[in-house]
Amino acid sequence: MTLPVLICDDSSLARKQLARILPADWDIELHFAEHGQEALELIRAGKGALTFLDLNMPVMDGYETLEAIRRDDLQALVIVVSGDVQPEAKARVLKLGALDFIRKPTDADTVTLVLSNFGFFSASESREARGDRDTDIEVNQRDMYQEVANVAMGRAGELLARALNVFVELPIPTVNQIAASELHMVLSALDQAKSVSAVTQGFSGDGIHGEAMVIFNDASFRDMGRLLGNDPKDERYELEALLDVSNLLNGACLQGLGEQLHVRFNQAHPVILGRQVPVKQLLENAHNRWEQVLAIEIGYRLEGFAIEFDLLLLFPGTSLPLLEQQLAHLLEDV
Amino acid sequence: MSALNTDDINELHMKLSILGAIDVGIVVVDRQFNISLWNDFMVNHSGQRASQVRGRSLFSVAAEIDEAWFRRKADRAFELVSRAFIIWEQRPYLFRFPQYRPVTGTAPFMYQNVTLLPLQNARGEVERLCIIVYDVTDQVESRKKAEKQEHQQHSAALQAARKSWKELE
Repeated sequence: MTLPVLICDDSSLARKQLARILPADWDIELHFAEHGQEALELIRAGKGALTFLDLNMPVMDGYETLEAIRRDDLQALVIVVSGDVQPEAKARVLKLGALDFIRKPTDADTVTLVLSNFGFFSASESREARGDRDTDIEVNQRDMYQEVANVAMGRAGELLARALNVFVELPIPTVNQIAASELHMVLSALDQAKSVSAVTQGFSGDGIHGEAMVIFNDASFRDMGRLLGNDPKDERYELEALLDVSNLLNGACLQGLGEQLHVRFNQAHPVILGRQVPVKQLLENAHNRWEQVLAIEIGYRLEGFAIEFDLLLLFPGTSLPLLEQQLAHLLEDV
Repeated sequence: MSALNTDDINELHMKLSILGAIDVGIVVVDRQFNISLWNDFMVNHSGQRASQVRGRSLFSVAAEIDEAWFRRKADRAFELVSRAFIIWEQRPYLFRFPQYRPVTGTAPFMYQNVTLLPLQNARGEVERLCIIVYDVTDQVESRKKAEKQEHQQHSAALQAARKSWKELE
């Protein structure tokens, strides 16, 4: 019997990647949804007996979707596929009834193994060349950047969660092409902050250059320093916390980014952009304020704490052709 | 293990010469903070030979290091296999060295930026930490000079404004 399978992910890249690595000779009828609400409609219509579910999505996220499936006793077995790789995220979705948890980015072998573990597919069936499953999903540039950032952000969140022993609430990264002077307008976690502090760190790899900037709401420092186990009597208390967090975030994020792009990034030492200043003032001295940059913005929050900070990945226009060339491989070699 | 051939030895020799000549401090410590590598930069600036410090605790060789603070940074780098950067604004130096230009320099010591790099062995385990020390004294001095000038210009402007205010009165 043909199995109705649903892939629910807000990223067109992620939907396409997963569709392409499902076993080619697996007898299924494939459906797609872009967020939880769409997924629930399709499941109610009998189109998601097996559902691959992302966690971080607009409208309705994966956790809420799992709750609704359980509450309404819907006919769907769920495998979560997520870039949020905190152990706590996995524990939470398993508790909500998911069968299993697959880390992004994933590959054909991992998916096939999970499918055969649960008896959806027998790996001994003849496996011909995969990748022929017909999907007409159009992947635009922004979706590519967003999904790559999503995976990198998940790595950074996981490291932070381990370092601080907290649960990190991961947002949906936003991708914008703007002038450097307009950066303050994209800081989602910090739009209420009166005073912020920030460091920026240059990185480069294979001709791709960029900056990773960490911006902190100054109201967050006391809690943050305590989580980090820093000495509260230290006069450079907030600076220590800022650097500790930027070390963790930038390192993990660039590693996650590098693994997907097949680039190994070098990092320069961080430079202080401003301490206790209004957000607007941070980039007043930027060398070329009107140059267009690609900005990937990730607003982090720590569950149970009033701690907010933004990670910005900035790529100058000159790095974009190389970056896009690397991204194109992502669609080819899955 | 097979014996090294001449090419390998030449290669190794070249790498050791570069490690010796490079104008950056390189120290390797194990999980107990005992020193296993101390390059020429460290020898020349500290006056302590590699043979004198090898096997000794970092904190006894460099008593100026704030041990609790440094352990926190290093333990996290070890534990999470995550490299860490320390900048001079946090602590002006890790090792207290005299400044590089003893005659024309104005700084009382060498300002340093530091990188902590966890080193993985062949099995992927992290047993050692590489401490890389950069001399950033020139950068700090020119920054301080610029700030001083800015301050002077600012107070000159302030004085002029006060003067014209007085004349108005």
